[in-house]
Amino acid sequence: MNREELKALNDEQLREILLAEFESPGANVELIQTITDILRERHPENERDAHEAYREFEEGYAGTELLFEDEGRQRPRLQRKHKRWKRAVVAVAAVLIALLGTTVVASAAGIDIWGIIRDWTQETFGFETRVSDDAIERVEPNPIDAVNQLLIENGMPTLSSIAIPEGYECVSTYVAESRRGKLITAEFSDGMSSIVLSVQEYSGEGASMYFPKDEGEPKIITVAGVDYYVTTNEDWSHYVWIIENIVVEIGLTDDSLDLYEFVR
Amino acid sequence: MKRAIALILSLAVCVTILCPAASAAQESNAFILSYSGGTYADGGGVVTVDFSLVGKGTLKNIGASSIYLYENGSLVLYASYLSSYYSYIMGHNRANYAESVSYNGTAGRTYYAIITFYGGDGTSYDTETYQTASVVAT
Repeated sequence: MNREELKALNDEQLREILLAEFESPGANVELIQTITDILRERHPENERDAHEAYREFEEGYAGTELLFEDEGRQRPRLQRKHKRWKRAVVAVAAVLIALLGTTVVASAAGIDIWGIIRDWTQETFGFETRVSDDAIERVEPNPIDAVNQLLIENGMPTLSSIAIPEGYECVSTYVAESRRGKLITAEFSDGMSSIVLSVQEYSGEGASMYFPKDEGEPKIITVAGVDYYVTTNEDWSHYVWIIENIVVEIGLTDDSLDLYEFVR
Repeated sequence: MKRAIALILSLAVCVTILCPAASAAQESNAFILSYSGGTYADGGGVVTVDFSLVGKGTLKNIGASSIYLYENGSLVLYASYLSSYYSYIMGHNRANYAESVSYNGTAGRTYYAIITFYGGDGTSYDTETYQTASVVAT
């Protein structure tokens, strides 16, 4: 696609091409430059004056003092070094200006260049998907969000590793406060079965918490370093675990759901 | 005659002592998922009994049906709270509940409480009895 064809496209189309090029491992630098030039022409308000930028760079970073005493005499070899140094500074400044200009133009077009470069870096070094996948999981709506919102409002840590199984929705939430801290309870239902999730904060003062259960020792399941105590209480299954000064419990009537349906 | 009275009184004492024990030995609960309680010395001789519980879903009645405070091992009659007289220790149409009661005790004396947790749907109910740790009033 030549420059004239590119100029016929609107900003949004150019932005899409630019984005695709940035995401491509074999980015076409010439094409990126052409598009940024076109965008720069269309949006001169985002343009930075190169001379001004260079002057700022020279004043702010390179300094204006001589690197050696002149002593009133010219030193050809040193002067040549000085010129060489100055040429290097100009080259660095040009690169900085180009990057700055591209960033400004791309930002005006709604593109986070540094974010994309960061992603490239992650892919290159093999950190590619884990962080972003977690982020995607976190933003997926889940009925647990209602509880997390309440926890945030009450200054308590959220349950980032817990999800409520599909089909259930939050039907009620309750906040109570005791001397030991806040107690937040939510009830979920799929129309037939119930899930009760409760988070009890402990302020550090001594107090005991008890969980009625059927006969037998609790089963302990360790997931990601957290011990989950699994019991039954008549027709309810019950999971309890502690994170720092928070006791979390889940009670449920549907015995076909196991702990792994809740821990993500 | 005296022997018969002594026997009846002994039986009454045994029943009084063993009933809460039998209740405490009950393991599962039809309405309560968890419960918690504590006694705290707040200074100036004030002692506070605090409790909370979580039900199996929203319950018509959830809270404490009674709280008995003991001072140096003896029941303090005027520090006994029954939900029928102190309605605030019982919550309604909730899945959890927490509350506390305070008593102006005497600094230096030891206090503990026996709390009966209650959960019910209006037609049936279940309870749990719990004795808090002792605390010395300051």
